[in-house]
Amino acid sequence: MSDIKVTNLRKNFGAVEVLKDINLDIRSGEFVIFVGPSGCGKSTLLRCISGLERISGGALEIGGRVVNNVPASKRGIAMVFQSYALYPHMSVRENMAYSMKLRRAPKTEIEVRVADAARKLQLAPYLDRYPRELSGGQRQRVAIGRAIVRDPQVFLFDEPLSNLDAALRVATRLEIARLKESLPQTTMVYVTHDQVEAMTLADRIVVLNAGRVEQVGTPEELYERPQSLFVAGFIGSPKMNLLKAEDGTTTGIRPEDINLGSGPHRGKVAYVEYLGADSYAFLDIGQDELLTVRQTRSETPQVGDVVSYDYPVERVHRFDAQGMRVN
Amino acid sequence: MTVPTADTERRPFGDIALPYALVAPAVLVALAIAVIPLLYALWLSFQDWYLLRNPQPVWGGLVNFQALFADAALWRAFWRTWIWTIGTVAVEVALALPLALLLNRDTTIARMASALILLPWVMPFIVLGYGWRFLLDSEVGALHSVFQFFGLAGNSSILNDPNLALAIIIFISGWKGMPFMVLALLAALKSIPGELYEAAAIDGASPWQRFTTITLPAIQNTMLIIGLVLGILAFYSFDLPWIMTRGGPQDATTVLGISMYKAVFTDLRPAYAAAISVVMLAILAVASFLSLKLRRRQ
Repeated sequence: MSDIKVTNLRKNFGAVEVLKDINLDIRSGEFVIFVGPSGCGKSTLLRCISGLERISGGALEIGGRVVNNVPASKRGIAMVFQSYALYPHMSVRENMAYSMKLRRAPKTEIEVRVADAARKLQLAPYLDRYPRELSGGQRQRVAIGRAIVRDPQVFLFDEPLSNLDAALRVATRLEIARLKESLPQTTMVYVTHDQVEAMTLADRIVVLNAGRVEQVGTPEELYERPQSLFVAGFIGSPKMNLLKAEDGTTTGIRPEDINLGSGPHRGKVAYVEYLGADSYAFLDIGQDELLTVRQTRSETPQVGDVVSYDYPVERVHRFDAQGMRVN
Repeated sequence: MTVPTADTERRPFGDIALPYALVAPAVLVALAIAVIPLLYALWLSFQDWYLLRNPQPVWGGLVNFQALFADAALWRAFWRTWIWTIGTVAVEVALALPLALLLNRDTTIARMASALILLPWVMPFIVLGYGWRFLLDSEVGALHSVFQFFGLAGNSSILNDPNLALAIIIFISGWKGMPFMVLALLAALKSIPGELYEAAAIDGASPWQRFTTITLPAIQNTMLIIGLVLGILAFYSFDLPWIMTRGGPQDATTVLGISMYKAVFTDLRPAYAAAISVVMLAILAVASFLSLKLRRRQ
């Protein structure tokens, strides 16, 4: 059992309240991703779960046990840091064996576990190298290997891919997905600001904003039925078009749900971004912000064209003056 | 590909001379205060020059070096200098490491204390030498009463005790050199990423295990290199032991620097002193070479 239950959790740094009344249920074996803008508290929440930060109020349970005052090393967790945090004076093997050595595990058991993890992550040829002799992607794998060796109930990732270049990020993302499949009992909590990571890896996504949980749901739920203006604007790239009305309500429509060519509305193409498989056209429709339209490449209009457009009414998201979903 | 034609054009003399003119003052000063005295000392070490016998130096070949190796008092000073050097560095490390660990916090007090800790380093030897002599004075010294209370000092100052004088001056020498080590260690400590300690905490390392597996490996090269530099400085010390005890009591604090000084100004044998300095230079050259090699390895 490795479910995580967060009840009314608060975290203050001095007078600043970073996390406000967080409630969260993470099921055993689930892959949950925290997303949100910089400073929303997602990393702090992860660090509270890890035990690196003490919580200021509320309760935190891991596997049915309240761990508010349990030190990080006794929580049954392992963490992969953004900077990898490999011990620079130890070889890959020593890095991975360190936690087991500290709890005086038998030598043979350590060797077996390290060899297992190394095989899983294709690290066997590098066991005697030092972190400085490895590439970024290899270091990342060592960091994951170090966590696997601990055989944790809960795996925590703090923006593990943000130091990698784009190609490596895609490859490592796939590896993490495979890792999750090979460890079905292990709960994984993952922090990122990258939506693609969140959408592709998560069973459920937790969107945080200014220290509060905005919405919890599967990637599809968040994309199709955002419960607030914030989630609507945050999830999806390019962003959802949000058109404000006089009465303070907002109408949202995703760029791919708008059809150009015919319809009751008209706009002038201000500019076009060509992305290969598709393009984004930005229409001036007399509002503060331009209307973004996603088009396949064959249908791309020219800058300066005045075009008609329409959208199916069932694809429209409506929000009240408080920014909450109404339909 | 185009072939540059600049080689065939002559540059104006001013262009060629300017860089030389700009470095000339520095080169001249270096020649005057380092190179020429060094060559003079080398030349002098091969002269036979006892001022009471002949007012002018005459060629003596290896006579000074032969005398030097046969000089029992000098050998004692030589070994004492090693005790002095190693002792000074040991005191420096012993004082600096805990202080650096204490000051490696982001608090106002730590920042202020980091500046204050420089005081012994910037204080001239003459000031702190007399200050410590005053503290250890048998009539008025505050520290003397403390030592007396613990039975370390009798009725006369600890500086008059041949056994303890060297120990206390070594401590003062280390205390003066300590700030440099503290600053170097602080810089090394600040460069250790905090996430390493967090990873170790999750791995279950105790504070002591974190110190030995993360902190110590990260600062040991700095400690070694700065220790060598401070050791080189300590090796040719003269001022502190001279100010405190004039090399006494009974030569107990006579290090090579003082032997050399006495060779010139008490025994009137400048060529002999030059030979001592040449031998010291050779030893220091080896030490510097080692320290440079270590730095490169780092």
